[in-house]
Amino acid sequence: MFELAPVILRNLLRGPATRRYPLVTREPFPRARGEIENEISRCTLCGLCARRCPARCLEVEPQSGRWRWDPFVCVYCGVCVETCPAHSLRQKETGRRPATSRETVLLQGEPRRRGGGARPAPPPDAPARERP
Amino acid sequence: MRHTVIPFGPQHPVLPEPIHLQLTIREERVIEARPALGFVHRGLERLVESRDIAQMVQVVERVCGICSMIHAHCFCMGVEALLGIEAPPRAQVLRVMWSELHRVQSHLLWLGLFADCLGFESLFMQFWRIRERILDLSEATAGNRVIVSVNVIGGVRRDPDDAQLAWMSAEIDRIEEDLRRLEPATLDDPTVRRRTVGKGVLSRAQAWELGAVGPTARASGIAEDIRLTKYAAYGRLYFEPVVETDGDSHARLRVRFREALASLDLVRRAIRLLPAGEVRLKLKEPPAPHGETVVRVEQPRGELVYYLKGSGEKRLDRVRIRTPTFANLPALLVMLPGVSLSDVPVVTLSIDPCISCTER
Repeated sequence: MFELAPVILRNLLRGPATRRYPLVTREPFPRARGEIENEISRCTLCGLCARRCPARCLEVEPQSGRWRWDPFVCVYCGVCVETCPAHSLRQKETGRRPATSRETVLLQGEPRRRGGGARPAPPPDAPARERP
Repeated sequence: MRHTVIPFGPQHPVLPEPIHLQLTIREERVIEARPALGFVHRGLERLVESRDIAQMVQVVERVCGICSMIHAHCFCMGVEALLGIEAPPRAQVLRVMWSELHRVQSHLLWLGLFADCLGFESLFMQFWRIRERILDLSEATAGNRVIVSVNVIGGVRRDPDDAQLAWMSAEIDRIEEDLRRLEPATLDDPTVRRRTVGKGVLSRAQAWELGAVGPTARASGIAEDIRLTKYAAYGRLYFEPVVETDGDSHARLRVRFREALASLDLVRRAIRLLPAGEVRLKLKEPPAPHGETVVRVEQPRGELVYYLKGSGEKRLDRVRIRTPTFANLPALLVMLPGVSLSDVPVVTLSIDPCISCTER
């Protein structure tokens, strides 16, 4: 009948298991998968992220130089970050905040010239990628 | 004597997902149960026509939120078999480690829901409190809490370092200790026993005949577990299925509770076994397999079957998924006749129905 009594007594001493969110938040774990960031000055607008994305949350327009990310469609798998050849994409450790309206992230890069150029070498301070 | 037909579900406080049962009742006893499905069909199998093989890994993970890792594990194993490759040994053990973590969190989720369904709110909160720590382990090692997204064709995408593994091992010990403290309240409490012992009995012969799988079959005395086929790294981990013989709701409760403990032990042993080396094969992209294959793995609810067919294109021709709840529904329809109407929620939940899986 009183099987749970020891657990209840321990819980009285331990304090609550829940946090007073949003006043108190937990630090994210290192390399947790959160929001996607694009350093647009490094981005070559090659469109590989958009082609690899399983959720189709990315749109890249090389002619107009637009890079668009929909955080409400994104499944935060990190495949785009892993495949970015220019190392311009990175993933933050904090997730998307709750929002009252649905907005996409639109970045304006340098429009790509016809014919394109040579792929730039990865910079020496390339951000950490999804690599074991 | 007049019959009454009572609808149970698709929306019901004990059902985490929508299933409709049309119950024919006579004097508060069920004499027939007829199911109706199709409330959460998403057409995920058809997405194979528009997603390439690498993208399908993320799609199949979303068949079921609770055992996403195991779906992706099964799919990747199938594609690897078609390509004639094998994931590196370290990746195989890591896949087992995350799969077993998923089994624990799935069983803890179910144990909490089952306690809630019996009206045992405090026990429900205890189980979910422990489950949160398992989700923390997933997030720290894989990056995400529930849909971990670590599988890839030819290996895994994350490689936990030694410090993380040591912390994980210590945390598993503490979780096991806390879980064992809940054992008397879960299995021996007189109110739990009164609601579950002798309720929804499935005999061994019925379980065999109806093709029941997973804990539902093991609670009826069938020692069947796909992990015994030694896929991935299970061959290198000593493993014994948890079997009970009573076949009632309490036996299914005991099987899941003991399986959660056994899975914690498997995680610990997988960490100890973890060989050094690569975790991911470098593939000539994109993979374009040819041929067809059938893969089976053990999900928290039982046997999961994937049929894959490819014709040398970057997209597969067909993916067919047979989930364990689909196999356990006929058993549920045999368990329900004779059960009192007030026990229908308990018996229905005792097979751990996962309707999103079933309807995909």
